[in-house]
Amino acid sequence: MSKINKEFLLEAITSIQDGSKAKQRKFLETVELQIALKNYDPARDKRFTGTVKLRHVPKKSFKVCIIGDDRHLDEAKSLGYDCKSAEDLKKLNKNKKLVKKLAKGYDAFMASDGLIKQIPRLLGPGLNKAGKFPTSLSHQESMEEKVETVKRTIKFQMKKVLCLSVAVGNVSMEMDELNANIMLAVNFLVSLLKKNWQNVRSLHIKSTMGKPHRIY
Amino acid sequence: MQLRKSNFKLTGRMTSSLPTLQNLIRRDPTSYKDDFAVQYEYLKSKITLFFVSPSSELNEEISELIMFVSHVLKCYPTYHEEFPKMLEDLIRKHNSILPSELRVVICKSLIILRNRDLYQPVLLMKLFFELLGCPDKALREMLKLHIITDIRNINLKNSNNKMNRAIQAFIHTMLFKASPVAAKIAIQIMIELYRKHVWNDAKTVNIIADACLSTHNKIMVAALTFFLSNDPSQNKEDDGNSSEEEEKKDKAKKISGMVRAAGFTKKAKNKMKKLERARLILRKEVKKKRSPEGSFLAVHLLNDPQTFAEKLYKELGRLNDKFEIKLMVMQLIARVVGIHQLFLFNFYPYLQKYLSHSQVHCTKILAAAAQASHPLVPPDVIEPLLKHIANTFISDHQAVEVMAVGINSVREICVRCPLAMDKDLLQDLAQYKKHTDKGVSMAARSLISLFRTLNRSMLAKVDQGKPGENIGDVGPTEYGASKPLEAIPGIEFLNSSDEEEDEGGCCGEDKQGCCGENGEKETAEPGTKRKRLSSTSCCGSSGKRRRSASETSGGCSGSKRHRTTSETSGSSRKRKRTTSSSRSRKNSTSRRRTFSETSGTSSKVKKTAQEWMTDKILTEEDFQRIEEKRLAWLMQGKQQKKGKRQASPERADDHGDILNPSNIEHINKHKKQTKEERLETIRKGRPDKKFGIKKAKMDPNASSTNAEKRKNKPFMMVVHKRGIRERSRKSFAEKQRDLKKKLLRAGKI
Repeated sequence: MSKINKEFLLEAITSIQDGSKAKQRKFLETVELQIALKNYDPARDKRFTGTVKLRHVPKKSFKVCIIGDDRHLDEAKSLGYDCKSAEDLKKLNKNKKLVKKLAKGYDAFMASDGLIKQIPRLLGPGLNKAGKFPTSLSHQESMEEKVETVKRTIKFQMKKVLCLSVAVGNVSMEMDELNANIMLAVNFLVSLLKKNWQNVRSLHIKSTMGKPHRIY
Repeated sequence: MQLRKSNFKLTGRMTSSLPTLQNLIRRDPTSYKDDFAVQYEYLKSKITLFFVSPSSELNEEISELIMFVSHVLKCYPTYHEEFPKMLEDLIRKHNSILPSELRVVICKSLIILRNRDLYQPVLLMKLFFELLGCPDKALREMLKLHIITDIRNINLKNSNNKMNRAIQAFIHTMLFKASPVAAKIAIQIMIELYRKHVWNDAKTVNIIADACLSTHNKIMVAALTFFLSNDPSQNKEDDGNSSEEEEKKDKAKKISGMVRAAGFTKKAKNKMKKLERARLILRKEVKKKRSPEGSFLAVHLLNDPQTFAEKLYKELGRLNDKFEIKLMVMQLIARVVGIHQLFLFNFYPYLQKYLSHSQVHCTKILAAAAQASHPLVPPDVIEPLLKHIANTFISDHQAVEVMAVGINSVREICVRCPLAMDKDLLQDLAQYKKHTDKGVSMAARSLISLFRTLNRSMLAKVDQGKPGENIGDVGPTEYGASKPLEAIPGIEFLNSSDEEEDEGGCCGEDKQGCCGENGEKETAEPGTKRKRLSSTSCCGSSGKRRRSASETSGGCSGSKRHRTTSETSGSSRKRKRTTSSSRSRKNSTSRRRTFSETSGTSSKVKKTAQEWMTDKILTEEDFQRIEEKRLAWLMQGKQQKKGKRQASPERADDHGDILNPSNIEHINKHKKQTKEERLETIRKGRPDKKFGIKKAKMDPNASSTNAEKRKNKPFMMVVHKRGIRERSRKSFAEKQRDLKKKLLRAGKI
């Protein structure tokens, strides 16, 4: 028996999309998946983390900063990404507040493979603390593709409480795109759990300002 | 003790002692009110007297009176305020001059009052924490015990957060202000409460973490041992048992299935070998699940691990007195750095300073070095450390144990930070696999097998293993590279099994026609688990099965097809049923695929894996099946065809949180025995006595007797003698008779 009815899920998605159309907001609403767990003791069981690549980019306003050498900087500028050189980072002078500000300003960082080894020395532990340690970028790979991958990647991380939520899409996406993303996220999450479905209390999907819909 | 005269007048009865009075008061408080008042005043006067001229007799009297009053105080509300206050003042102000017994008595009576709700618990706690500093061991022990049980009782039903917070804050201030003895006991109390799951929140842990930075060694050591202990008590207590048993059962089931499957085949020896292998893998899997490494550690709860680690590191420079404490700090830093993946680059060169084989506890330091390395540390930081270990520990002129320890620790570092290893060093170390010492060769082999899974191209061609044998390259290829998963690892098993089984299913359909399918679909669900078990149980023979299935689907002569299907009949029918439900769910797409592209390359498998992820919500059974297939795949191991590499079904970051030094010290399980030792064990194995009685000869140099000679004579030389020939010709009755005669003669009957 499948735990989630396909039609039911599609219904929930359409109602979310209708809801956002009925009352237009001044920003693009994100669709998020909220998960409540059960039979799981965060103080005793191992906390899980996992990253998965979705089918489609969930957030449009996902900001990536590229820390690179000259070639990468040029490429990034031509593609319109934000970028920083090693000199820029040196200017921060390991100042904790500035590094924190930098980390807050972006959703993800990428660094050229030659440069990435120096980053812990240049910036200190600030980026790492924020969970935004850069991913490496080599000259062989295409930057656009790599950025796309990063944009599509979501991370499940259980911390001290028994609930978590991740962004899986936005209301402007097509229905089947949203559906695919949600399916993939749910499947992956459940695979991370120790006892799979027996650890899931409930699943909700909702848009940022809309009503939540319980799907499990 | 005799009571004063007034008692007799007042009560008009013989109340000879305080316990009797106590008993009487309990029964009828109102009528003995005056008696109580008298006793109370008497106590007060005694106390004032005590300060003027203390004596041991007086002590005894006072303590008895105090106990008496505290026991009956509940009956007289007028004194509820006064008496506890008096006691509190007494012990607080005159703590140092009071004799030890009196202090204990006062504390006991305060506990009694608190148990009867005549005294506020928070006030009592504070008082007791203050008293922890007093130089009286017995008292301190008592107070500690009481505080622990009291806090536990208060939080028994639901946690009293307000009080907890107040006490925790109080302890925190105590750490830096109170006397070191008191602070140490306070920390011990906190640790005990954490262990008992009363105070297992972040606040407690952070207070204990602060204690690690204390200037007093004793406090520090108490806190350090707390963080360094693995808390085995935590996970063993309750929750573990049920799941463990389940796992055991599961394992037993799987194995019994395999045994059955092995029994049905002709080539038993080969099967048994596979069976052994499968057993080993299963055992490992269960162990992996159960290992305490998965358990939760206090270190996870630290609020700001980075600054904590930095402070500890600073502390390390300050510490000069004892190496053991220094070592503990090192271990804790390593653990915090490893678990939270912190940057503390100075720590590695610092450790390197202590890494030499003549250093005390050098395995512990090696373990710390391995623990502190994690994938986010730039490889060029770890590399010098690795080189240093290789140079100082692993060279031919070192003792074999040193070498083994060195290679083991290199392995442990590489598990956590594989990029630090370079090709030349690895290949050098790999050459020790043929070393004469077993410990060294084992260590080298384990290093090789680690890199076979992580990055096999780093190894020399010889060591890479068969291409399909094990997993490919799970490890990171470069620093900072991230490989987000696109699907659940191992989901393609769901897929491949389906393919395989679809083939089987197809031939079944050929035979039966499609009519049966609907009926089977309905029966599929209830019995699935058992059937699936049986299907995985024959996994060892899957290659063969596949062949037979393809033969049938290839469709040669009808009779042959019939025979092969009947051979696999039992299992294939079951298989078909299990898959029919999922097949129908996946409907026509999968079948089309199996018809058209039976030889699915890896890229195609990957693609379908993604389809799997998005097409449907996986059910509990699907997950179970993936797990089973994964196990089966592991068991199959070497059976894989050449050149057919599959993606790894394991997650790369499978190693646990803690590294035990025993992992590194694991030098050799069984040391190779010398000839003497071997002979010794052989002799031990022999039975002590030979059968029969050996009479000692009177003269050891005398020659053997005729009877002895007769016994030892070769049988063929005497077989023709008359006596022997006749004996063999005797009938049974005759033999019986003779035996009886003989026994009678010997007197045994």
